[in-house]
Amino acid sequence: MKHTSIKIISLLFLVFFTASCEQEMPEAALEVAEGGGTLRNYTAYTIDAADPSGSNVYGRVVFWKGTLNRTLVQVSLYNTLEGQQHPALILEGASGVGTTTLLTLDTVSGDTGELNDNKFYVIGDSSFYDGLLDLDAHINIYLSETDNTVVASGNIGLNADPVESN
Amino acid sequence: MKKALILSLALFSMLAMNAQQITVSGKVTDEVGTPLPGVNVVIKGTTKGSISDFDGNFSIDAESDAVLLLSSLGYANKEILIGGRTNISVTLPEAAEMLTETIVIGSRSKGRTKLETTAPVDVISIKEQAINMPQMDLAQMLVASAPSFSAFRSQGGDLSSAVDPPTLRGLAPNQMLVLINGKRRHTSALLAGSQTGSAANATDMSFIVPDAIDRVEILRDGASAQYGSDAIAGVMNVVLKKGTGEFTGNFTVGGFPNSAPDLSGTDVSVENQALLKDTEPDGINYQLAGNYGVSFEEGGYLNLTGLYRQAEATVRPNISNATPYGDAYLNNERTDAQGNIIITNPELVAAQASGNTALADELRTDTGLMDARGLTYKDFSTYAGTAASNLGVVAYNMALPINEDLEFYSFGDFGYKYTAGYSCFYRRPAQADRANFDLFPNGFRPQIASTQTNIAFTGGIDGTLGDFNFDFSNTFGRNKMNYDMFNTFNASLQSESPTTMDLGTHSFYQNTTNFDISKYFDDVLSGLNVAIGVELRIENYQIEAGQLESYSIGDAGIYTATTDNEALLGPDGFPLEDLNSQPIVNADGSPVVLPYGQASTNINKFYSPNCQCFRGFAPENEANEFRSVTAAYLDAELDVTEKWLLTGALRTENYSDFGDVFTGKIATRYSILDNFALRGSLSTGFRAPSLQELNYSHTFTFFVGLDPFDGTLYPNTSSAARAIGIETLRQEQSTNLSIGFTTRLFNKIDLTVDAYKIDIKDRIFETDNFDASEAPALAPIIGSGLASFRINGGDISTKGVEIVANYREKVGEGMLGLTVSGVLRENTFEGASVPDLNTVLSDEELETKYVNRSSIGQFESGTPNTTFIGSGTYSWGKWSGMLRGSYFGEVTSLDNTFRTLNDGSEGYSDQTFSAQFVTDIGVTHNFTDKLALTVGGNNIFNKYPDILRAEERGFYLYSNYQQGSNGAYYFARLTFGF
Repeated sequence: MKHTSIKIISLLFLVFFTASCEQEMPEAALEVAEGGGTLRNYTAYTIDAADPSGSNVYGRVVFWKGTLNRTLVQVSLYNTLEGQQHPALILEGASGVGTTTLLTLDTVSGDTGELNDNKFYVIGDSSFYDGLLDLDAHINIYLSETDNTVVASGNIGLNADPVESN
Repeated sequence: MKKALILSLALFSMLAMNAQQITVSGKVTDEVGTPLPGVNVVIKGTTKGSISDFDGNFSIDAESDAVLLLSSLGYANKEILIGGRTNISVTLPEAAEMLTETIVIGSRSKGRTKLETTAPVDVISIKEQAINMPQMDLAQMLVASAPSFSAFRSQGGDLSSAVDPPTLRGLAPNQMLVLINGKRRHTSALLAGSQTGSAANATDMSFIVPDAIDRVEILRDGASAQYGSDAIAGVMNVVLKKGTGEFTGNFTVGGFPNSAPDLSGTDVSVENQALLKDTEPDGINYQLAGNYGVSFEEGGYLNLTGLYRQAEATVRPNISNATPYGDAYLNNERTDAQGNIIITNPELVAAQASGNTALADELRTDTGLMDARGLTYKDFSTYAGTAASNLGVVAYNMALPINEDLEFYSFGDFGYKYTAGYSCFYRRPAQADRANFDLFPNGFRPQIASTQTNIAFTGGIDGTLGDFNFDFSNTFGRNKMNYDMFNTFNASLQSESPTTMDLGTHSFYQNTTNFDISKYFDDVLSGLNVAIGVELRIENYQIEAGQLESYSIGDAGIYTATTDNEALLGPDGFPLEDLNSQPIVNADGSPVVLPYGQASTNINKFYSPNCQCFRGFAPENEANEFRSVTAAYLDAELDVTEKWLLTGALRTENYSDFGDVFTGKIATRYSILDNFALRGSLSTGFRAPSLQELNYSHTFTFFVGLDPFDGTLYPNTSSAARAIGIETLRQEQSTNLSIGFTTRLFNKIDLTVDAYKIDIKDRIFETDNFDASEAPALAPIIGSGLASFRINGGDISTKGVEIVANYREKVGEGMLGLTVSGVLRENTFEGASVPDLNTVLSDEELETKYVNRSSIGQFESGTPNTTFIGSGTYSWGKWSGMLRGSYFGEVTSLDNTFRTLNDGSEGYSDQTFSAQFVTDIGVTHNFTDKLALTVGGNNIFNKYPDILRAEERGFYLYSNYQQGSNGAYYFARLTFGF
């Protein structure tokens, strides 16, 4: 019996020292999709007022180099018209010249001067940002979805120097 | 054929054995001839046994040459060779250790039993009781055994949970004194929150290993005149094991099923009830302990003990439904101080990129993003629960005779403890001032950890010098505690911050030298013992600062101009935004302009400074303070007659940091009948403010508008304290009155009833925060900051009745033991003693701030004022069991803030929690006399206390001051010996 006891106790010691170890402390919840974080590379162009009625809508369009080869487009305009939804399009060629639409961005809220649903319009084309400086294009801001008066316009890419970039 | 032969031989042997069997009858008595009931009579080498009846008689069938093994609690085992006799009378002597199991606490004279003392003393035989107890640590064992004893264990997993503090009679942990073998035990370095409304440094019971303990004596009476500071509510003396002559060990595994209670019918939402019900077992713990004691032939002994325990944390979340992410986070609208955008919702970007507008709409909601990440509100909840811990302790107790008159003795222990708990509110990503996507995309739950080393060592010589008994000893004790936080960061450093930080170190040591001398005069009336002694104590308390990042203000939110007259505009040409995504503009809406390039700055983002949840101790909090204490006492015990005992004591102490204290005590006991005695005592006592209370300082940072300021708990010797007129802390002084009786009813029931009243002047509390508008004198020191102080806030009192009854009887084939004990108590805050402070507050406002409502409520009704414990033990042959019920009376918490309550009314969110009853059980089977298995549990019916009302449901979901919120606990324990 004594030998049996010693065996049992030895087994206990073995189990104990196997089981006991450093405390496992839970990590913070890190569940998140790829692509988050701070974006530090961008190219910004000015958008100038073009409204013949003198609304003086102006501002900038910023192309942010996102992760996962995405490009995030931000539009920020002053003097937009309250209650209006201003369509924002990127068109081929220089401002006042080209008319072929390359991209239809989200509409700009007249209340905030920024894109309506999302802060950014997302371009999934992996080569867009890298080819931006060579892009022959401009951006037009229209009065409304039913009135295609261009209230503001700005050259981008090949047609203008960035107002700011990083 | 071979099998048949073996079978035949076996059968023949059995027949031969049967032929020798006889019936042996007998009687067991003690040394004075009193019959002993309940004595186990076992045939050695078998499991066959019997038990003596009430008259001490037994009968058993045994082989005529067998050996009977007789054993009974409190008596030495005895082996008797039957030798063919059919009638045997056996005398059992008291066990050697039982002969010395007279009370040593509260008396410097010859030992007395607990029924012979002038004050109530509980004697808890840890050595006997531990095997059946679910509790593994000494403090919780005593809570389950002694109704006046309490050991609040924080359910918050905060620093308080790093210490197991003992308390008596509803007073504070630092208002009772702990002795080991009669020598003062040092306290923890930590000034921890206590259940009585004031922070206290307490003896950490977890470093006193149950396996090293023979018994614990709890003197429920003021004893400062005998033992000095702290002995206001009483004194606990831990008597260590001596030469046991065997190795004993135990291995325990236990855990909490964590089955949440039914919360239907409460205001907890159905969704949250479902989340709370989704649990799994936790708090799994293991403990291995061993003890070996040996007696030396020349006298003396050595006893060694080791223990290692590992316990996982328990998690009892409170789900708040506070917004996890918030709009700015969900819509990727956050920017850094330079205006760079922070993509916090990459799931939304991916949905946009794929043109999935329906998914994008979902992801712009909190629940949508939580679903996408597989998270629930529970993942964003604050956790309460018991801290995880690793504990290792080695201890020894030894004595060596020097000659016939002198003995060298020594005992001590070394311990290591690591605790890690959930001490903080969850930091949600929606809280932009303490969020960082890179480090914690879904927020974080800061955890605080403490690493302690604890050492205690006593060496001394006792014996006789001529006609005098003497004891000369030195006791050293030190506790060092390092604090760390993990899963945290300093938000003002953003991604550059470490996520694990050293917050600083506290240490406390105490060296006590005692010389006691006594003489017994047997020719003075019925006996007089006179003792005198002196004590020299030196103490030191240190606070060391933590790492810089834990208490610094970083520059992650600060923008420095790159050019002269630079407007604060982002890459998009809009003004830069603050933490709330609001533009940083002048009053007229124009962008803020910084005039000087490389020099002008603006705080664009007011990120929270310091280590999140707990600011590290900074250089201004550091301390290294000493003090010395000298004391002398005179103690006399006079047996006026055989029936009348009269005792008295006087003591004076001098503290190097605040002066002299003089205390006295008289006590008496008179036996009216053989089994009935009255006893009472009147004493004065005191508690010196500890070095921790005198010198602890901590700072937190808060914002007024856009500027950060410090709130500091200042030491009373600080310039801030002098400016407002706060006086230096002085001692708490007490007057204790106790009266009661002891009796033995029907020669079976020991009953003690004692009433007491303790008045304490100048109880130490902590004030609320003062600002400079309330105390203009503080303005030069604290500016727009806050200051609080520890103060002798007012007088308190407690009175109550304690009842303890023990009954022991043979029932059926086994021995039944019953104990019922109870406390009925009333704590009262007698009023604040507000000095003339330099404030502009009205008297009423100042009094409210001086000792706040919440602290008063916590002392008066925050812990149960009524407690009953009923326990039964039954031992029969190889089985023994314990069943215990504990009743915790109702408790009431008082709110500190007059506010609009959830029902729309104005008032305080006070709450009374209903009384609770929990049941513990332990059943042991002894396979052999060296191997036993125990299974059982505490709170076996999984009773949870009431949940807090919604206004108070921040950190905790359940009441914290009754049986706790962990629910049922089950364990198995293997006890073995060699």
